[in-house]
Amino acid sequence: MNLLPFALLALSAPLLGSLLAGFGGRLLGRCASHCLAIGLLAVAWMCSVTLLYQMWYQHAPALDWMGYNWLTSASLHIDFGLLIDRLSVAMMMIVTSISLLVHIYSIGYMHDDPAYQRFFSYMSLFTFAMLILVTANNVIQLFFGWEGVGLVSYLLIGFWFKKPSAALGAYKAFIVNRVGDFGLLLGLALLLYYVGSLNYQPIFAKAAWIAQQHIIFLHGHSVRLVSLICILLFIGAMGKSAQMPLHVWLPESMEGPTPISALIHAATMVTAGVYLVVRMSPLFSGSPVALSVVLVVGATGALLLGLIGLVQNDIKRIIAYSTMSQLGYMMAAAGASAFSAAIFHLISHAFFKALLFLGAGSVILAMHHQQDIRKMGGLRSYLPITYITFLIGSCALVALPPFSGYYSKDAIIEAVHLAPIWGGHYAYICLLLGAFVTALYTFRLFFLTFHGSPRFDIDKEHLPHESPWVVWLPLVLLAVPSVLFGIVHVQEFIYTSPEGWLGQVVYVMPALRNYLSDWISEFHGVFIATAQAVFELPFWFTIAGIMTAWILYLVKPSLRAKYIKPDNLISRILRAKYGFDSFNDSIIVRGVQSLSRLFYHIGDMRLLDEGIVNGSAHRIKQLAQWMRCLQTGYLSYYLFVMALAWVILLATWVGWF
Amino acid sequence: MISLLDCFFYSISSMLVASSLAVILVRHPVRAALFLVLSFVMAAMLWMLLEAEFLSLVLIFVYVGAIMTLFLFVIMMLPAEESLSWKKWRGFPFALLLFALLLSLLFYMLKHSLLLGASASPADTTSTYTNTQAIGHILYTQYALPFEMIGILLLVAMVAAIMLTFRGRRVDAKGQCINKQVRASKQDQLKLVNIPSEGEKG
Amino acid sequence: MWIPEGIVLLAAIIILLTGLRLKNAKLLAGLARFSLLLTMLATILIKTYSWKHHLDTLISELWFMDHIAFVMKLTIEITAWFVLGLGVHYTQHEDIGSGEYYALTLFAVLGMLIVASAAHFMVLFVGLELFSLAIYALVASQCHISIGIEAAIKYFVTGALASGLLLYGISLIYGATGQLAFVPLMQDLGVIANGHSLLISFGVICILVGVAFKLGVAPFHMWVPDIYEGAPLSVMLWIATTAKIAAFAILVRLLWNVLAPLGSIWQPLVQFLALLSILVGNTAAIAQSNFQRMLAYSSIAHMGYLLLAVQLNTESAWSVALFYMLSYVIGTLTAVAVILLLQHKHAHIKQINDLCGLHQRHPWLAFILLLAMFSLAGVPPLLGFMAKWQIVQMLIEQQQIGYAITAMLLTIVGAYYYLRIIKVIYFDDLQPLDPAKPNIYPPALLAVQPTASIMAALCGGSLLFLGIFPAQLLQFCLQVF
Repeated sequence: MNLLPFALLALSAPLLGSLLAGFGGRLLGRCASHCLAIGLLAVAWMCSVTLLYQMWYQHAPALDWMGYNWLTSASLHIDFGLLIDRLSVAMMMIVTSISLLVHIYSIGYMHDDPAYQRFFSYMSLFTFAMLILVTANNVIQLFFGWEGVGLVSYLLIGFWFKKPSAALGAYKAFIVNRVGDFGLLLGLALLLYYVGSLNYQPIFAKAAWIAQQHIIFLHGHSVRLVSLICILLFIGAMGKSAQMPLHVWLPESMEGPTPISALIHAATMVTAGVYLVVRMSPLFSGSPVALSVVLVVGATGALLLGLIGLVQNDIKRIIAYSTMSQLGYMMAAAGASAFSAAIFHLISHAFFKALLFLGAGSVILAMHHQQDIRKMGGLRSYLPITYITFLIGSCALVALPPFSGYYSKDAIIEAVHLAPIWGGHYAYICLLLGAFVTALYTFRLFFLTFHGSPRFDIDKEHLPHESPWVVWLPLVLLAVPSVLFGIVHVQEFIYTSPEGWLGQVVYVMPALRNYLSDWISEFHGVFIATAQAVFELPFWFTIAGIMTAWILYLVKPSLRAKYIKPDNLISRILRAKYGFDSFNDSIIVRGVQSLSRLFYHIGDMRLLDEGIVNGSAHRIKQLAQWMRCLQTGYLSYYLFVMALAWVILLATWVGWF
Repeated sequence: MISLLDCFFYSISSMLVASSLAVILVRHPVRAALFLVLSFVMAAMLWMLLEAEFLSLVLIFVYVGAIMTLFLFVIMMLPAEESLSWKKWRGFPFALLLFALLLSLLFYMLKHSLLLGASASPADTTSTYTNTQAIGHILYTQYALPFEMIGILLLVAMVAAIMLTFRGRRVDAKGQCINKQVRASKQDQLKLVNIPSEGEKG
Repeated sequence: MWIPEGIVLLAAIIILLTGLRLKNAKLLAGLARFSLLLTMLATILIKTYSWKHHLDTLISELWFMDHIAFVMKLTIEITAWFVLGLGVHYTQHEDIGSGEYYALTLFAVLGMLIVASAAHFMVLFVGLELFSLAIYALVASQCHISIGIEAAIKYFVTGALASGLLLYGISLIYGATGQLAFVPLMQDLGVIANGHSLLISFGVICILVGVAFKLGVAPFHMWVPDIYEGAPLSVMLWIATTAKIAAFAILVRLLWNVLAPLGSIWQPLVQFLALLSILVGNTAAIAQSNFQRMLAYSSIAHMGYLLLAVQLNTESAWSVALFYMLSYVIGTLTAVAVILLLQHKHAHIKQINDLCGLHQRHPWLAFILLLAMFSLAGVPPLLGFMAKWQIVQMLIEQQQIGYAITAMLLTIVGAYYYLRIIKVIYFDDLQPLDPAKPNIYPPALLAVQPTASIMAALCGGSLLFLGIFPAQLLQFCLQVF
């Protein structure tokens, strides 16, 4: 069966939807716009389903399609092409499913927004860019998608651009991502320089050769080329996947509409960094240093960013920090070469995190755009569907046994535990503590929001009520995979071989294959694994987290006031978010600003404007005036000049001058 | 060894240079014109020395006999007091410098260039040879085309001169009207008047 | 062989004679233009005839009948036709359109045609003097305006000096080689090119000075602004276009058909003249407030670019020079055509500021002027850009990157004064000519002139068309040399 038409259709349908909703939105009206966008997205979704079916059940071979030559400059060929393999199909599936549900959800959530069609257009455009990113068969096309999702993310964070905080958040997201993209671009440039091609196939074919190359820096420091490339690529991934220290934009991105937070800043775009690392696994597997960097950065983020979630009060920001923490888990898995586990967690996380965000959106709708959890409480009775689904999402997030999060997260922690690479123990400790922290902040949020007594002004006329069906339907639809996905698919996805279901797509360092074999041999079926949970450390850390939250926030809130002083060192550090923001503001932003002011005043105004631009113009004007004076109008003078010029020419020729 | 021809050449050419200088240095325009006549004569003599007797005589006929005479008429008709004085031209030193430079360049050129044997004297120097005939022959055969063109050129010069000086017919200008003259009859021109003679009166 | 020249001569004499009685400038101009059409026809017929029958391109060592002669003649005739057509109303209005005016015009054309075919120094010089003399007289054709007389005297005296230098150079070369005809002379020079004497070098330099004067190249450019300003507009157009083509023809004949083997003598000098011209033309034009003077400096700069191609002294470089010449001629023709159309009974367009707000009154004329200015400045889709680009490409191919960069930098300087015109016509407000008469604005149509308007539009359109599709013209220029 030819997969190409489906892939092309899946790509073009969201683009068409975006164009129709964007340019024809005013003409079509609200209903037609969202129907078109959703309908076309459904087409893309069905194409993805077909592709996945072919890959999963029919074991169709990967498709590497070279479309057409887009640009040729000397030896540089940039092509438009598609690579449809297991990894990209899994990503396509996730992107289209979440996007479809979020589209539907948005009908309800964005109901009153005047820029309704624009919103749908942006979302479809995002889907298109994300699909380009995951289906590209060369890094330039990946970069195109990468920048495309970055652009749409910027547009959507600043969707309510009249709100200063939204505009600022959009700026921040854009600028911080530039830092990461710079690293990514440098990595691509190195690849182009050394491999001479930007397509995956030749790059991976030469991965072994790249692994043996060294670059000599100043003073003869030799650096392994592959480590350099991978770390540069990982800097890009850090920007996009909000890893420390380039995570600062993600909390600010919560200024965007909540469906966007679910779609872009939880389920899909932020996982692009993980996708990049997994996609580039042949390169990363050549560099233990790069793997360790990925592992350590990921694990550190998983713990430290989760901790910040403890002191946040904005419902969306808590979930945002949780997202960063979970992305840290995925990165750690990729660092431990458990690529299938990383992708598996990516998928299950996409479901339950989208569920949590959309649930939070439902709460926010009910609370009339109140996002502070200290002003909620007791919503359980008002929002029953939201309550149930949110509970399912929370359980999945904290990795309680039968829920999907348990299987993915447990696999990651176990893999990191076994991983014989530098930083493995540190990462294991971080991830274990992370499990506790995750449970703590998740259930703090949950209890404060849905249990206890209402802390908002109860207005009899405007009691919080359940959202319309377009809002709760996606919640229910997302709750299903949040429960079942792990239990159904974990065995086939992770525990079939060291590479997992991804198989040939990823490449694991031979030295690490043994540990991975050990790791999968410990798995004896789904049900045993579920039952085994009680004998494992992460489970008890999680339970401890939940209990702590239950005691501190529900049973005896007075304990909080007694033992946790609001201005103790730890909470101050956490509240300051480890000082990243203030560091950025005071050192980087202000430094760059003063530097640019310096350049503006001295370089631009003095040197360029006064010196070169206006200066040369003045000089030429003076020259012109002078030449005008030469033109005296006296005939004898003209004759003299002519004769003089003649004589000078003669004398020059003779060599007298 | 200086031959007689050299003596003639140097004396004539020094007079040519002197009279040419006088043309531009003398204040009175009539005298300047007369010096120009002198320099034409000297140039004609130089050509005579080169056995180019036709050109030499044409120079005297045309320039001295016709053009310079016209010049003198014009100059004499102008109020000629100070009109030609060059007063104190500030650029004079520069001009002098330029002149010196040019002169030295020309000397340098003549000193350093070998003539490529083409400037030989006419081949046929027998007594039957006249360069009047030779010039006439070449003008009407080989150079007929440029010769005709020069005719057109002179026509253009004439037309241009007329155009520039002709300021329209004046109302009181005197002129002939041939038609009128031809058509004139005795009746129009002649009127017979009967005047009684003295005798009849008496 | 001499049918085109004969037609022009005959027409000139007929106009001269009929002009004595006939005072209708339109009729005379029509006659002149008709004769030019016949001449064009004759030129083409003779070319095709001689091409079909493989006639010799050289007639008795005096007269070329080659491609260069054909192209130059045709260009001169077409340009002359345009110049005459555009100037009809102006000459009538200025009361200079007498029989003598048109006769002299045709005599000038005759001289130019002779120059284009000259294969002998004598023919060349006589032809040169023929058209120069006619133009001297034409400059002074408004003999009641002192500035015109002054310009004519200046032109005449400086031109006489230049002719004298040219003649002197010719005589030096004749003295050294004993040859006046181009073809044998070139063979002789080719033989002695390596061991040439100082006599020949001086001769070459003197000839170069003479031609440089005719082209109006710095530092022999001093006459150009004064003559452009002083001459009647129609005559100025004549000097700026047809006479420039003729001067280019002289340049081709002398440097390509005679002195090409002595490139080592004149190439560095031409380089110097070219760069100086570009510098002087482009910078001095900035300070001008008079439109005609500005165009004068513009032409000086353009001739500099032309010489920059010429100094390469290869076949393709000469072709590019021809291409550049054509682009310059069409651009100037277009610009002056608009100004000619705008002359008003009460106000001549003399100053650049007289064009203020042209766009508001005559958007089409403003657009045509914009095309002309952009083309002269060398802005992309137009012919002038293609021409400049060709020259720069040629320079880079010949490793003269420094010259290419200098030329382009000075082009930027030059863009200033072209853009200033555009700024004035598009962004400045209309200003009444006289505060007392607030209803009379300077940029007003002289009269409704359908033919001249169509011709101006044709010129402007060809700037755009040939700029976008230059291949044919370029191919044509490449086949000439």
